[in-house]
Order: sequence, then structure tokens, then C-alpha cells
Amino acid sequence: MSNTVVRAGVRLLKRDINSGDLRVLALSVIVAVACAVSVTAFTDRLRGAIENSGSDAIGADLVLASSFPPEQALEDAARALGLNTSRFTTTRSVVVAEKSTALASVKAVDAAYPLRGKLRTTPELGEPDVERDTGPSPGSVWVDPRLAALLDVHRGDSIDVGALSLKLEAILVLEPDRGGQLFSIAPRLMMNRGDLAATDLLQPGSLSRHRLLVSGSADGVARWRSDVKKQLGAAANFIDAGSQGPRLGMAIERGERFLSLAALISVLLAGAAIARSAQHYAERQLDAAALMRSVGASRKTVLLIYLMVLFVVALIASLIGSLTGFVGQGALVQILPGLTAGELPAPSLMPVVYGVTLGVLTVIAFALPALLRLHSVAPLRVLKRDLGSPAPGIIASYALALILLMVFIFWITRDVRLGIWLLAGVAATLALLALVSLFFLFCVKHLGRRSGVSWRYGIASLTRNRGAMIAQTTALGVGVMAMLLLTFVRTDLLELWESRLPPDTPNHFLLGVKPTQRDALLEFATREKLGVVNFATMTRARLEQVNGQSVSSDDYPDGFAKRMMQRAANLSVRSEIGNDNELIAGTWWKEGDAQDQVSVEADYASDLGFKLGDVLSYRIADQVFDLRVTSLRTVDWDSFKPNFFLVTPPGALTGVTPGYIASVHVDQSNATYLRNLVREFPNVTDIDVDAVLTQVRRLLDQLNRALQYLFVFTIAAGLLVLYASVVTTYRDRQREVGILKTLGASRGQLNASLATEFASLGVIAGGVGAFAATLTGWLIGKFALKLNYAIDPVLWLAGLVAGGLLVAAAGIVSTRSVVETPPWASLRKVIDQ
Amino acid sequence: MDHSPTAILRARELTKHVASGERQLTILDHVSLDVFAGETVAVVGVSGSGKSTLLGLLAGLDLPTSGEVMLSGESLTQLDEDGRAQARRGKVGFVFQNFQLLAGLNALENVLLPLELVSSKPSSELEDIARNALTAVGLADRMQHTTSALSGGEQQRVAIARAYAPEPSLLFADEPTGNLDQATGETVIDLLMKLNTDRGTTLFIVTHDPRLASRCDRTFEIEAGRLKEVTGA
Repeated sequence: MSNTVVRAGVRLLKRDINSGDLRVLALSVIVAVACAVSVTAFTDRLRGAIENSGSDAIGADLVLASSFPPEQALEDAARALGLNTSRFTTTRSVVVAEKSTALASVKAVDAAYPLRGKLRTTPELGEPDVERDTGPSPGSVWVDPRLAALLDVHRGDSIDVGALSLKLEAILVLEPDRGGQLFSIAPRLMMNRGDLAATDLLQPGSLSRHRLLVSGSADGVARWRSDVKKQLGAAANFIDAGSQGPRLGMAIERGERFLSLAALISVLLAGAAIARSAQHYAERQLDAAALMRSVGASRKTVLLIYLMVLFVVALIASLIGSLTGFVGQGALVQILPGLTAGELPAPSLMPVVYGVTLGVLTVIAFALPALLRLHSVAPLRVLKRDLGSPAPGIIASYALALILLMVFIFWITRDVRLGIWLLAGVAATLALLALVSLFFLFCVKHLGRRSGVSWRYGIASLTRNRGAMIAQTTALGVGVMAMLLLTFVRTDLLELWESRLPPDTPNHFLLGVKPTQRDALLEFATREKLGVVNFATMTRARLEQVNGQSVSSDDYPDGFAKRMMQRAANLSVRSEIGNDNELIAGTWWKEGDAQDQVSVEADYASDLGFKLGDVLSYRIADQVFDLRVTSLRTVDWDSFKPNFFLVTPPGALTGVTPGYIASVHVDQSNATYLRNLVREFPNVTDIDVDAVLTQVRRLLDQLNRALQYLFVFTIAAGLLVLYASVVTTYRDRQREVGILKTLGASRGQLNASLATEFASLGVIAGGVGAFAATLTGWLIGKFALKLNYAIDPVLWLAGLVAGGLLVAAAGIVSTRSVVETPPWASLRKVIDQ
Repeated sequence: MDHSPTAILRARELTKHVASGERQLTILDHVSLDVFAGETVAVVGVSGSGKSTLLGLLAGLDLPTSGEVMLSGESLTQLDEDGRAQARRGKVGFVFQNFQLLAGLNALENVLLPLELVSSKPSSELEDIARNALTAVGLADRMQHTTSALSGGEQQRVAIARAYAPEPSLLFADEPTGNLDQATGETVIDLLMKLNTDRGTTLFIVTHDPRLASRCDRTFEIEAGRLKEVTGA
């Protein structure tokens, strides 16, 4: 770059650095970059934590996972190869402390666990933690901080796990193979495997998972793996550092995409403010550019000078934004604790590089069309000031910005199809919101048609530049929508969902009830006043063949179907279809029909590719049952009665002793139920739906807080669009206020008129936000929850009032100096320009 | 011409300094002037001589460094900005070189604006006044047009209608023909003079245009901040 360019650039920069345009530009870049960097730095650390952990993340070099305890021969074979082995079993159970009870994910480990990585515990919450080589000793338990808080227990307290009472020895703060806790509902209780039998938790039909861990030489592990694979075939489900990484990575990636999409909204809005201020800045430089051209500067020199000015502003703002984002990611870590088992590594500098690149590219992409006008300005403009420079076509102008946007979206989604859908979705949403803005503008205009001069002038100012008005109301509307979604819509939907359940809806599921316990449980229900007990049989079975062809989880892509294939299926027996099931294809069985039939839930069938007439071969212990799919049905899961993907007619599973699942309604005032249940039926797992819902709510709250954090940027970006518009129309406004003052308008009238303009703008934005929030609520209700989400008048009122007040305040503050300037000064300034 | 005995506008020893870097520039230097009701006064002078500054001070849009301005016997220099706005209400109209119409409002709404600012009459009555004012300047068929749809001459006629509609006793015009071609300029001059004749409105005009100056009762020239009368020169 030549000296001329640098010298002129520095001079222009010094002159313009305090101009409104560059200030808005810089602020917008700071908001966009801070938002993007805080999300990227945060997810970067998460990914780092997963990658760093390697084998530690699974507590071994290789894990064999199974719904049934792996045979001893497999473990012996591993030992024979010189490998270390360890076993653990996980199950879910309600655990009871003196003050409280809670559903826990119970993990019973042997003395060799973990083979890789370390455990960390602390005697009490808040005290420094220490490394432990092995798990709890017999007779004692460790609980994670969440469970300790739920149970309100301290070191030395007793916790009943099934039929056994154990002493709390420490708080478990780190467990190598825990994975992402954000996505696990039940908190952890760790105990010694030797105590497991005495708890009576493991009974046929109870939901337990078993893992056999091995570690040692790579060759030995590989050999053992291939031997087991030969022996077990498709039933061998291995987890290694590679398979665990991607699985965890997928969960994190999903979270990352979610957060990045929320960040994208702010970046887009800030982009609008950047585009507007850069465009205005370039327009104001037309005279200076013409002058430079008239004294001999080449087009290239002019372009380079202004590119340099914007580059420097973008660079400085991006650095400030990155720094802010860096501080901000710490806030996200606080908001979303326990995402990974390990400690998060220190943030790397990559997000800063990314943030600065994003900031500079965004400015250049959005400003370039305007800069190209400077590039092509005619030197004759110095003589004929009205000689403009032709504005390039919109498509040509914003092609670069559009390409950048697409790259950015694809970079976030890493999926071309999703990216295209997203882009189309964003475009369609913005177009819809723009239409809604126009509709509200029409309403506002006509509502106050005869309401006096302040109103008239205020509304006229609003309609002066319809395009800018729509951009502002849409941007601010998105901010308002975000606010409303997180407050009203969320609570409305939850309340609506809860209110449609009748008061005696079953709220506890009892899993693993033995046939011999059926009568005792009915008696127990009468004693505890539990009302109707809905029983259903439940038999665990593994799908081996479909139409005679062997199948395994490897045949399915990642997702629901694969997960279903990795675990045992639950088959239930029913003679009647029941009023919470609806037949949509095939026929339901009648008495005397063949018994080798199965009815499949429609979505499950579609995910696993089952069709009517298919023969599914399920293995239960040492028997294989060939069942023909004779019907497909939908299930109303919200009935909270036991329901199953796979149902067979009575007699289909001869020779198998099924377990039972039962659902009951426990009154909230019943304080003894759980204690008595655990005492009388230690093998039965109680799932408290209310407790699960509470834990789901807690998770939603965490996500909610993360979104609230991000939507602060959205609202800031919306306000920046407003500010950009105020700055770019400042001169017009100054002139008009000058005219109004010469015509006799008082400051009160002018303030009223400004208040009208901005409050109307805010009310329109509030209306757009309320519309978008209601629509989103309706869509979620309709398609995700099957609810009729109605218009909430309070939401609309809140949107309109909050929008009106927020924008009126912001608008009046940013235009205060216009009203304060003496009229002649206002007019002269404009005339002299 | 038969002048009223009292001046509608009186300036005494008006001086205006402005700072230019570390130096102080004198734009107006002890200017005194009386303008009587119903007369037409033109001020001419080269660019930068202080014509528009004088207009701004006389209209109370700006304050002098020293000296006094009396509008209908009331001292503008003693009032704050809102007080000066109050003093102008209904008494003073403006026509500018750049028309200074408000974008986003149509012709009728632009004319209604000062009426609504100063009058508590019902809207329908004000609308009638505005319509009559636009009809008087020949724009009866252009009332609903927004400013951007009007030609320069039409915009200046809207500005004149806006200035006259509240029936001010004094009208300030700053280069009213400056942005118009010769023919349109003539039309505007005729219109201003006709309204002066019909309604007896006092005109105070700052202009470069000798045609316009020659149509006024008195002409002043401003040079190096000093004002001297050159009527008939």
C-alpha cells in the first residue's frame, strides 16, 4: 500500500472516527463478534475437553456394553490375553435419604474401576477435591453434587438403595466416563458392585445396563475385540474412544449448532446495522472522493483509502468484540455447568482469529457495494454536486454479503441441505415479518389519523423511509420475539400441557414388577390409596432378523433407529387395542387368530423400516419368536399409561415369564408411598414422572438462561439497527426539526412528535415480535406437543408495551441533541452541507 | 408608500461574531433597521456578506452577540428559545431557497402543519384554510401529492401557501427564487407580491435576484457586515 493511501486513510480516519456512522459500524461489529466468539470459544473448549480425554472418556481402552451381564468367559478370555478388566452395572432407582428421595442413576463399580482416567471426590461440596484410583468401598456410596443437593445429605448420612442402606462417604465431582451431563436426567450415585446383590435392584425385567471394560496392549485389545465379535455377532456392542468421542461430540455438536443458530440471528441483525451505516458513510464521502479524483487520485487509490479506513475500524472493533466474547464465554460456562466430565481446557486463540476474520469480512462484504460507489464517483461532482454515482444493482451489491452469509451458515450447520433450508427459512421469516410490519404500520397510521400535529409529524417521519422502517421493526421485532418466547410462550405451553392432563393421571411408573408380586402390589395400592393400577406385561427381546435377514445396529444410520437397535426391545401383550392407541393400518387381532403377530407403533416402524407383513424375529433368552407385523398404530403417550412400540396378542410368547410395568397415581400429600414401596418391593424401580418433569424443567431452565444470554445480543443488535437508522437520518431530522421550530413548534411538541415516532416504531416491533412468538408457540404446540396454543393477550400487551417503551426511550435519547439545537443552526448546518 | 407609524420589526445595533479557529469573525457589525407593517423590504449582498445571518436574527431563529430585535414591540433577544417560538406563532411565516418541505407529508399536510401548531380551531376548519391557501397558489389539483412528486416551482408554491396560510403579519423569505429557473422565479415573485397586496403582509426578503429586489418598496445592501439602504439606486 502506497504512502499516499496510508496518509490519506489515517487523516480520514482521524476526521471520521467520531462520526455516527463509524460509531454504529464499530458497535455493530463488537456485538456481532462478541456474540459469535462467546459461543465459539465456549464450544471450542467443550470439544477440547472431549478430544483431550481420549481413552479416559470411556474409563478403559475398550468397553463391551450389553443389556445382559456379559458372560464370565469373555472376561476370562481378556485376562488370558494379559488385559486388565473391570465391570460395572448401571440402573435407575429411587434412592431414599432421611429428608428426601430422588431418582438416581445408580452405577455399581468393582475395585478395578476405572481402568483409565481418574475419579475425583470431595468430602463436602465446596471443599477441594482429590484424585481417587478406585470407586467406593463396600458399604459406602458417593453421590454427585446434584444428587447431594436433591437428597440434602452430608458425609456420613445413610442413603437407602433398594433394600440396602449405605453410608455417604464422598461427593463425586468427576467420573471419567460420565459423558455430557447436560443431556442426562438422573444424577449419579456410585456404589460398590459387591453390594449390588443385597440391594435387590437387579431382577429379571429391571432396566439395567452392563459394561465390561478392558485395557492393555493395543494388540491384545484388538484381538479380544475380534474374538468377542466372532462369538457374539451383531449383539456385540463395543464402545471405544473413537466411538464415544463422536457420540458425545454429536450431542455437543447439536448443542453447538443450537447456540450458533441463536448467535447467527444477532450476527445477521448486526450485519443489517453494519450495511446501513457503511452505506451511509460511503454516501457521505462522495464529495471527498470526487475531490480526490479531481486532483488526480485514481479510482484504485480512492477505493484503497476507504477500504483501509473501514478495515482499521473493523479490526479494532473485532478485537474489542473478541475480548468481550472471551469474557462472555466464561458466563456461558457458568450458565451451563457439567457439560463434560472433565475440566474444560483453557480457551484457545482460534475463536479470536475466527472473530476478527468474521468482523472484518462482514464489514467488507456489507460495505463493499457502497465503497464501489465511491470508486466510480465522477470527478465532475466537484462542480455539479447533484451528480451522483449510480447505485449498483442490489444483487450485484450484496452478492458478496450473501456468499459470506451462506458460507457462515454452512460453517455452522455443516450440512448443505440444512443450510439451504435454514437460509430459505430465515428469508421467508423475514419476509413474513416485513409484511406484518407493513400491516401494523397501516393500523398505526389509521388509528391516529386525526390526532394532532405531533402525531401526524411523528407518523410521517416513520413512513418517510419505508424500507428502513421495515428493517428496524423486523430487527427489533426479532429481539422482542426472543424475549417473549423465553417468558410467556414457554410458560404458556408448559401450563397448557400440564392442564390437559386429568388430575388422576398416572404420575409414577413401576418397572420390573415380578408376576409373583402382582397381587401384593394391588394390595399395596389399596393400602396407599393409589387408585387404579394399570398393568402391562413387558418382556425384553433382541431383534435378530427381519424377513429372515440378519440385522444389527450397524445397518442403521446414526440416530433414533440405531439407538433402538443397540438396546433390547420391550414387547408387551395386549388383547384389546385400548383407547389411547389408534389403528392406522392393518387389523387388530381377534380371539382365535394366529398368535404370531405383532402390532408396531407407526413412527417406530417407519424409523426402523418395518412394513405390514414383515416377519420380525426376536430372541428372548434361548427362544426365538417369529412375529408378523399385522397392524400399525399411533399412541397417545401423554395418557401416561404404560404403552409400547411393540405389542403381541396373548399367547404369542409362550414359555416366557414376562415382567410387569404398572402405572399409578400417587397423591402429592402421600409422604410414605416411596419409602414403603422401596421397603416392600426393593426390586421395583419407581419412576416419578413429576420428578422427571422437574428435572427436565431444570435442564430447560439452563438452556433458557443460555438463550437469554444470547438474546441480550439479539436485542442489542436490534437496537443498533435502530441507532444506525437514527444516525443515517440525523441530518434530515435536524433539518425538519429546524423547519418545525421556525414554524413555531415548541420543544414539547417536538418531543411529543419524536415520542410518537419511536413509540409507534416500538409498538409495531412489539406487534411483530408478539406475532412471531405466537406463531412459534402455535407451531411448537401443533407439531411438537399436539396442543392448541391460543393467543395470549398478556403476551401481546407485554410485547406492545415493552417494544413501545424500549424503542421510545432509546429513540428519544439518541435524538435529544436534535431538539436542543437552535433552529437556525439546524437549518444552516443542513444548507451548508 | 403610506407607512404605518410603528415598526413591526425593529433591530438595534445588531452584532454577530462567530469563532473561526482562534480568530473571531464579525458577520454583522452594529446593524439597525426598522421594517413597517405592509411594506416589502429586500436585502441584497454578495455571498457570505451576512444576509441570511441577519434574517435568522430578525426572525429570532438565532441570537445576536449584542444588540436587540423587537418583533411587534416584543424583544426577542430577551426570550428563551421556546419564548421566541411562541412570539413567532401565527405572526411570522417563512419561505426558503430550498423550500424545506417535510418529506413523507403531502402538499396539504405540509400547509396544515403550521396551522395545527398554532391554532386550536377544529381540524376541518384548518383543512379548509389549507385548501384555500393551496388553491390561491394554483395547486388545487396537487393537494394530495407528496413533495417528491412535485416540481421545484410547485414545491416553492406549497412553501408559499404554507407561509401564508396562518395569515402572518410578517413573512421572511430567504432566496425564494434561488433554486428556480427564470420563468418559475417570475411566477413565484408575482405570487409573493400578490399576497402582499391582497393581505397586507409585510415581506422581508433576502435575495440575489435583482428582479425581485426591484419589485420591493425598499432595498438594503449588506457589505462587510454593514447595512445601507440603496432603494432606487
